[in-house]
Amino acid sequence: MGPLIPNDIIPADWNNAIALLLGMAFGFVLEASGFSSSRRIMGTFFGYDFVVLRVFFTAAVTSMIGILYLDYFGWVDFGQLYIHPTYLMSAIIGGVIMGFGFALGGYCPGTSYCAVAIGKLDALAYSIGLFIGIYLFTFAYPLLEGLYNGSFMGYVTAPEVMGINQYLFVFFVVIAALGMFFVATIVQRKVKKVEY
Amino acid sequence: MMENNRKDRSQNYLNPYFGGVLLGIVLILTFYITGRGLGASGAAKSTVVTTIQSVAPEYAKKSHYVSQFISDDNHPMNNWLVFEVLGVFAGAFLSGTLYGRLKPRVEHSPKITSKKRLVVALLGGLLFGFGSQVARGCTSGAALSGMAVLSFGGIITMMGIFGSAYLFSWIFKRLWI
Amino acid sequence: MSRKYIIPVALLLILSIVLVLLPRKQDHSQMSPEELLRQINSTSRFVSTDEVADRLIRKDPSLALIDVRNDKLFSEYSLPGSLNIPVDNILADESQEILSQEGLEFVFYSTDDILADQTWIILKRKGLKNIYVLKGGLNEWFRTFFTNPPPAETADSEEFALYQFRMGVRQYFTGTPADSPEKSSAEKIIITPKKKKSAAEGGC
Repeated sequence: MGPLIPNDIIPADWNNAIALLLGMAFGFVLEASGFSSSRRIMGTFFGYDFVVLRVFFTAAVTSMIGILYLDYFGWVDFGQLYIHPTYLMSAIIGGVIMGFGFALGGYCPGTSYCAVAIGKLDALAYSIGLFIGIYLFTFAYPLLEGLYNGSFMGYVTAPEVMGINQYLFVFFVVIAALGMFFVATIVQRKVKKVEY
Repeated sequence: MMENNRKDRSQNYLNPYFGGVLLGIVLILTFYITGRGLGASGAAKSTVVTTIQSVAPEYAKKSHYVSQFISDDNHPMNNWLVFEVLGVFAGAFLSGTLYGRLKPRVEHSPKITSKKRLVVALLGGLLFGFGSQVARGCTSGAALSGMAVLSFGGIITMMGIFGSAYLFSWIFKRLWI
Repeated sequence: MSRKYIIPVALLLILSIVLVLLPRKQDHSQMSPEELLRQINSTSRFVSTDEVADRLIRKDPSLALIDVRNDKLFSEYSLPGSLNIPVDNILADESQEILSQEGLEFVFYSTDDILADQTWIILKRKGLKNIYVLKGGLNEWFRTFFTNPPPAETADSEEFALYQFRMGVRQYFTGTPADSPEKSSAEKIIITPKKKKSAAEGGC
């Protein structure tokens, strides 16, 4: 019954080694899908390459369905999985700031690491920026502490908050994702091609 | 002949849906084995915390934020995310090697200079780093891994990031197209 | 959209629809008969009257005494600080909520220990941990503390120490009048709302 390490089916000492391996798989897939190119990533926002949309939502939908099936058949205890906590205002404001950074930098931390690995210097600049930004946050923290710790809603899931069945929620996400893929394909055909 | 093949190969990317399924499987495995999702900004944070601690330990202890991540019995770099990110570097490097995409360069739109690109990239990273601390995660940790377990906060963060990025990329369109 | 996506898309839709339509999850946490037999044969579930008395006197907050007899017997006499959950109600939602609180060790008792033991078996099958049985029940309680004979002259010092302890317990408990059992037991055990327990740490 998973998750394996929290239930001691795999010794906890292996956790870091496993992290390394999973990270390798993560990095490989990201790079192989083209996430090591900032101009390619930005294509989602300008319509000339929707790779980010496609990979992200396919991965989200695959993992949601996969985990729920595993939970249903008793292979994994959903209650033991780490659910990202919801601090509403922090999530929104942090998201907006990150979006701004995304639009300028063309990367997110994970993809910037991949790009650094293949030699992109702009990704290196981005990563250095990450460190500076985090450092600045430590200074700003005393001012932001209230916001940071406020509006805590718990480790809640979206279906819980919305009051609907979680399987139904996933179904809606699937429909939404398929819809977005469809629209994206049409848009991509109509948009002027960009060489990168 | 070989030149052509090489060029072709470096433009070879996985089909995005296929890549998405693979990524989804990696996520499922990650949750199944470790009970947690993937992440990225956390490793950057650990690096910053470690640096602050070694360069200015007094500030580290005094800082409300940094002190949360320092403990006497565990080095901040000895955490799951740091190892995972090391793996990300390795995996991406491997893929880059396989597809012949290893090449030091500054990737930028022909409409701006590479110097400008480097400055803007740094600014972008700065904003993103700051925002990732506010939201307690980035696209990998909060958005992607959060969504895998249907986290409400994860979905909100994802919408915030993508919505805001759409807005700002059109405002700063000259940087890209 | 090209033709080649028809199958993956159909597969995706089918998988998500099936998930919606599947019947509610079975409870997979029921113990196998072999495991149950093993648990029954082990005596680790028993708690002695001495230990319970000691913990009561020390006001150990982790101790939660549950009287599984009916409420009439409970009101005639019950152990101090105990909560009455008759065995017939033990599987009800409110009882289950009480019993699933963390940080408490639930000790069931009855007149002898047969009813308490039966309760224990039922709850073990439900997968509850931290459940125990008072060995000998109330009969043993009385025998240990109220009708216990002094040890023989030739007994060793340990037996004498135990006897002293038990006399002390009797004095402690007979301070409370026998005909008004602790009805404040309801306040002692607070029901905390079920929190999500994440065994894994995480974050980004």
